[in-house]
Order: sequence, then structure tokens, then C-alpha cells
Amino acid sequence: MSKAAELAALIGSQTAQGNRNLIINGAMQVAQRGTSASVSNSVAYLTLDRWQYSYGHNSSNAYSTWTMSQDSDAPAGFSNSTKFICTTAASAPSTLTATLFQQKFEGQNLQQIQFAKTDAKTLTASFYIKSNKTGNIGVQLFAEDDSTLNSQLVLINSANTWEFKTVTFSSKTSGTEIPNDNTSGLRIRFVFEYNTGRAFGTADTWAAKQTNSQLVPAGTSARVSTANDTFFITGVQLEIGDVATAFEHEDFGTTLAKCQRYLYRHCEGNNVTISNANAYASNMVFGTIHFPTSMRTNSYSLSYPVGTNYYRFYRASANTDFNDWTAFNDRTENACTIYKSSLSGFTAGHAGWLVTSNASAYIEFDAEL
Amino acid sequence: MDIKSAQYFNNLEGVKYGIKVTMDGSQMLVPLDEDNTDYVEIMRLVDAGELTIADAD
Repeated sequence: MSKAAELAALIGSQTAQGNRNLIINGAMQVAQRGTSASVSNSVAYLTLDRWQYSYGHNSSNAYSTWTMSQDSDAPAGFSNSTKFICTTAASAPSTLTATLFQQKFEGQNLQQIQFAKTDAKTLTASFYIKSNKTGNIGVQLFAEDDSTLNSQLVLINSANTWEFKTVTFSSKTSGTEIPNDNTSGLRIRFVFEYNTGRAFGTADTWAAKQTNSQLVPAGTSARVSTANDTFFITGVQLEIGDVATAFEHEDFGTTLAKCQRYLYRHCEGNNVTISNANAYASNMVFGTIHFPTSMRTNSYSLSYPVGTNYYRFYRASANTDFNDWTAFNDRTENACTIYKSSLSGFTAGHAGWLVTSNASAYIEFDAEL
Repeated sequence: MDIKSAQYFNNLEGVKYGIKVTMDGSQMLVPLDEDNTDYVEIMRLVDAGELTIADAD
């Protein structure tokens, strides 16, 4: 296809326009939870926003331990990447040993791909990766609503070198349509450790999930880690069409706002405002927190550290310190009331404000998929 | 989640409203809703016999 024809096709497909990247935080800029964590036998969001670590095994000592971090090692045009370094390799890898890095997408953000319809779109993923090991990694789409998977391989040609990769996924014209709602409709997975029990099916073919999820096509040789193995990734884009376009850079504030739909760290550190507050009774204080972005759902969790005098209520020329929170109340996607009871000395109706009073204190709302 | 203990909590009307989970050095307030991934994980642990949720105070 000539360049002119490619351009015309892109314009016609609308993928040449903005806001085409389905991925949030593909440039690995936002890390509200923190910039480094140890990960092993868990499925968890621990560092970079929207990116979930996951693993697989079928026996003890069959999974590796990694440090997952936001790193400044990145290809030209990027400032950050996600880095995994294997701190302890699985001492007895099982055939199902696997480690992957994934992002889930809300169904209502996927309606344009028309899964399970005759006009279903192809999708192309592009990204930069670097590893001390050459060989194949798995890249996979997982359609949540009918548990079907499309697995492909991407070859790392040179060790310790940033490489740009693309992979196109065939359209999914059958199965279950993705509901137009706020639940997870699709995942993209980067599988950088796997053993032979994870190899199943034909590349770029949508197939039912096996009891033990397949992660790479059949016949793929194992990629099992050893200590100090590294895997870096950044510049991740997933878009409609069979052509990878240039990474869609966006300003930090835009990416942060997108991330805050799923996780909102409201405050962090010492002497930081939490909210206005009032003494509901002589022993109870209430504060209402308003979110900068509507959360994905009002079914979020609220997390905070517990420690001596981590939180403080100022009112009427006095203050009272306390260690934790009693509960939350009246949750909506836009606000939440938190309170502490079993205190003393307040006058009901007095107004004031809540602050943190320890450098380790924070309050975080989690509505991740 | 490395859960040390879990306990239901009520809202001001005395209706069961959520679960307070205590971990190493932190707590999490979790709504009673299967749309919440933490609640799903807590119930998985309960079903597996690995966690018991205490009644609300």
C-alpha cells in the first residue's frame, strides 16, 4: 500500500484522530500508590496506576519474586517505564509458572471495537520493551464476557536494548458482545515469564480459556526466569486498525485524571488537609471528601495506614489526634463521608477540619477493575 | 492482601454497611458489593476457610 493510500485508510478508519489509545497510563507516568513494590504470589495493583501484576503456578515455590517499579530508563521521547527485576527466581518452577502485567478496560469504553459483530475491528498493540533475555514474550487479549483469548508472540531480538514492537489482533466476530457498562470487558496482557503448561492453541486465533489459562501459542518454548532477569516496558498503545500509529502522548494532568477514575490518593504526608469536618456528637467527627474525577463505581474501598496520632481534628481552638477511622458512609461516585467515633471532648455542632499528622499517613480510594 | 483480621461495620442507622480489614500497618474499608474486587477476594478467603469476619461492634 502506498503512503498516500495508508494515510487515506487511516483517516477513513478514524484512527488518525486523537484519543485513539485505549490504554491509560501507557507512558508509565502516574504512580499514585508508590513507585516500587515487591510482587510474588498475588494479583494486585501495587505501583503504576491501571497496571496490574499477576502470576500463575500450581505448587509452592513455583513462582518468582520481583521488584516492580517506575523507572527512568526509557526510550527516546519517554521519561518512564515499568521495570521488573527478578529478586528470587522460582526454586521449583511448575509447568504453569507464569508472570504477567495487564490492564483491564471498561466495557463502555470498548463499544467502538464491536466485538462479536460482523463489523468487529482489528486491534493493534504497540510498545517499547527491553530485557536482558532475548526470545519470545506473550502478548494477549482476554475478552472477559465469554472468556476467550487471543495469544501471540513478540520476539525480543537484542538483549538490554529498547525495541519497538507491534502486534495486530484479528477481529472477534463471534461470541459475546461486550456490555456497555463499567465492568471489565477486555484485558491486554504482557507475559514475560511462562512455562510449557501455558502454551495452547494457534497464534492470533480467538479460543476459549482453558482451565489453566493459556498465555502463549502452542509449541512455544518456556521462558522461565532466573535471578536478576529484567523486563522493561513503556509507550503502550492499543488502537483500532492494523497499523500502529505514533504513541499518543498526553499531558500529565490528563493521564492523572483518567487514572483517578480507578484510584484516587486523596492526601499523603504530614499536615495535609483531608476535609472540612464537624463534631456530629461529643465523641464523633465527620468529614466529607469530594473527588476530582467521578470514580468508576461507588463500590470503592478506602485504605489508610494505622499509627499513633496519624490523623487530627482541629476545632474551637483545640485539636484531637487519633490513629485510624471508624467507617465510611454515604458513598457516591463523587464524594464520600468518613468518620471517627469513640473520641471525647467535642461539642456537637462545632465545625473544624481534618488533617494528617504523620508523614506516613494517606487516604486512598480504590475502584479498580 | 495479607489480612490479619476482618470485622463488619454498620452505618449510623445500625445497618451492616461494610467490612473493616486490618493488614500489617493499615486498614481497608470495603463495601458489601460484588463489584468491588476486594470484597470478592475477602469472600473467596472466607469460602476457603482462610478468613472469618467478626460481627460488628
